Amino acid sequence: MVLTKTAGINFQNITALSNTVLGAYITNTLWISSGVISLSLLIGVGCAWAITMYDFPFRKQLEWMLILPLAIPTFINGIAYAGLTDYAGPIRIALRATPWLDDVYLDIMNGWGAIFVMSMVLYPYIYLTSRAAFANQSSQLLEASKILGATEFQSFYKVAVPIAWPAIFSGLSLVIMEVLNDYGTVKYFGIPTFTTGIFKSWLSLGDMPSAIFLAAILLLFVIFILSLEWWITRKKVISEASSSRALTREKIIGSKKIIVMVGVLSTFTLAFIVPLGQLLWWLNLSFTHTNWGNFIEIIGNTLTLSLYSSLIIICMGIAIAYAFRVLKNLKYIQPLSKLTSLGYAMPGAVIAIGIIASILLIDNELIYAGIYALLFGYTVRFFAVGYSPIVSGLKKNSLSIDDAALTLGASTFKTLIKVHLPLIKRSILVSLILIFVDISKELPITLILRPFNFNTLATNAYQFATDEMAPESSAASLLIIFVGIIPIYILNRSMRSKP
Amino acid sequence: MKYLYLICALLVVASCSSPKGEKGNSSEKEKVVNVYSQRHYESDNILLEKFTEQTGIKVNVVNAGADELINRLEMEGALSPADVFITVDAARLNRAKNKALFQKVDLSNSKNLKPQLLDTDGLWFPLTYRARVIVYDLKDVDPATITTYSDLAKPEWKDKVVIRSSGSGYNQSLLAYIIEAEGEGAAQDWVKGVVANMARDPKGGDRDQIKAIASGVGEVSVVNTYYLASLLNSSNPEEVAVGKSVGVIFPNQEKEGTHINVSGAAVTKSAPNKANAVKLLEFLTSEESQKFYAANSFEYPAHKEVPADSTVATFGEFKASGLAFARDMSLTEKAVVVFDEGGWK
Repeated sequence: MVLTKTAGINFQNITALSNTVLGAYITNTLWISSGVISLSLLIGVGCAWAITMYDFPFRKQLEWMLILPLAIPTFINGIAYAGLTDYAGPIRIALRATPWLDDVYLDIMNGWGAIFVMSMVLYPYIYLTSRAAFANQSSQLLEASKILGATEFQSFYKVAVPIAWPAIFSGLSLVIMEVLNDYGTVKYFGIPTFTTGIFKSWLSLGDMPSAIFLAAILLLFVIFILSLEWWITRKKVISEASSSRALTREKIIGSKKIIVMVGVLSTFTLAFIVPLGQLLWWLNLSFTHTNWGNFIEIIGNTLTLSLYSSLIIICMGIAIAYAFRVLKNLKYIQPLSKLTSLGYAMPGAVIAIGIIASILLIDNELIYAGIYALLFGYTVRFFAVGYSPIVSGLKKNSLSIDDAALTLGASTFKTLIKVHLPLIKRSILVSLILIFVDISKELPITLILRPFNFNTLATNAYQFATDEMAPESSAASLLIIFVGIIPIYILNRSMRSKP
Repeated sequence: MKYLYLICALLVVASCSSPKGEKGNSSEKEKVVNVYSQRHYESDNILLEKFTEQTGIKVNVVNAGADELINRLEMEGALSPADVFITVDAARLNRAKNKALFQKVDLSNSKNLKPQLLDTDGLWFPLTYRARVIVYDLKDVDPATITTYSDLAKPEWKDKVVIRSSGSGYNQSLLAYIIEAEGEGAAQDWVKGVVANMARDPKGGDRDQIKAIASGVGEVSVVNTYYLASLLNSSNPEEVAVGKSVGVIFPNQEKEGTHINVSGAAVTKSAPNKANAVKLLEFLTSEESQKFYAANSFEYPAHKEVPADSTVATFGEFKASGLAFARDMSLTEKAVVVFDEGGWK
């Protein structure tokens, strides 16, 4: 639907861009995304392995606390870290009071800093999916590899990771799409990426068609990644741990214990405690002139939107995933189901304009009817987040289940309701919560499609943050994080309990 | 299953908290005015509440970026619920004006506004303006050595300039002003010179540049006046110290004047509540509201008689340039290209 506006591309603008800066944008994008991919894979898979395989103090608490950074919007993490290290931030204040160190200049606002700041909030996607995969895999396999003389590291990368790879990749593809559509952090850190080019064409050159053309190129890249995922996972037979014994966690001691604990604890500290601490310090500075009265309504709005749209996406996700399952004989249309995920890689602001265009095509009055336009926008944008857990959940149900149900006289619909849904209810909960958390952080679509006098926590935080008033934005930022913590806690409990 | 109950309970709570945002209502008897605004400041909300108190007219607001709002207005066409459009860039006001999105109204207050800020066709009205000034490290820089923006491109400032990226709308309108005043060639030279003098890659906002000077990363920068004023009035004492470490130079006083940009408002072409829209513009340009703007957003008021806020006033009086750079978007678009060609990130 966004593509309907592509007609009338101003190739002059695109040529001008590609002659000067487009190359640098692409290089930066590739550099930043590969950095984030590597770092979040390292942290996400590493933490998942440690939590699944080892027993150490605070393991149970850390198991769910490691997901918490997911609740921090990337841009907020960026300004929190920038604020932490700038002249008026606590680190530099302390350094200035220290002889010899009073002239140290810290700078996080560069490419490496952006990679760090983004990885810290995105690694939970990989952590979640790979932890579930590690926990599900058969303990016999790992024991067998040990008996055959493999070192622990060899069993990890020769047995565990290849088996878990489809799951890891599904988390990774969400990370890649998040990085590609990030605009706030890279803009603030002064790193022009491909998305910068999209916005430059649109906002500064007033050339919407060129912007959409560039967005389409970005989409091609994402289609490539999604096909790669499809290609990797297509032959995998999901081996359920079936009734095999649960993994017994190894009690670690000595230097191994120290290394594992330092790794996991420092991840949690850097990804959650540090930005939270900075926000709390800002809150302390701005507490007296924060308008607290509005927040009840704002929280209500945020919850309403997140809840309604996650339910819509879940229902649509189940319907589409099941339809593709039923149409299993039409092999060539299977990859098409991936196309529904494209919205996640699009910059939200571009989607928003596409939504207005398509709503106006359907019905001129609809756009003013409250929050419907917003719900529509969120559905396009976040469908991928909810869809992929449902698909992988459904995949685990053997096709013979369908045949059995049909033989017993159940209709296709009844099979879904009575057989599949109860079996995949955990996957449904996972997608519900991921969407919920994502929508409570969403900004660009909310900004442009919201009704009059309508604020969410994200728009409230943004209002101050873009005005370079970071302390004043801390109240809303903290509330976004707390709104996200509760579902994340539930998510973890449900993933740990036996189905 | 218990989560299902939790979800149901949340849904009930959520539906009780409705109605959330109201739809823009177009019936005159309900006395509303619908505003699309790029100004998202808390102080603006207080000002709009005052308007409702005085007139009984309810103000409905959507805040978003200027170009998003212009696109939305354009697509909605005659069906748009918007009555008033407010933005913080004269070039964007003229972009919307050239797309025929505004209508001409008579504003009795317009005679009280500074004439050099007014739109020649009277299709939009200035509310406030901002000056883009040079700030310098009070310890290391002799302010007499800088009188123009061009001075920043001189080799003596090598590795001493910190400035934000070319993606910043404020830098784009500054370069559009230089192109308009001195021509494209001079603008290209200026960009090359400043890029060669940069102490670090452009990054952060205006406040971050001032902090970089305080950190000793650079010695001079170009920032908007109200960012400095807000640092000086910050709740963080360290930020106040940052603000106090720099001085202000109003450049180009011997030439066209310091580059300024306006924040302005217009009545949209399809305004369903035109009379209320005009009342709102009269209110925002009144002496009382202009004083409120000056005191709360640290911008310069557009009103002839209203002085700047006391913090801003300490920066001194200055000659402001005109708004010729913003007559349409073409100079801003050219500025984007010149930045890209000159390698200004």
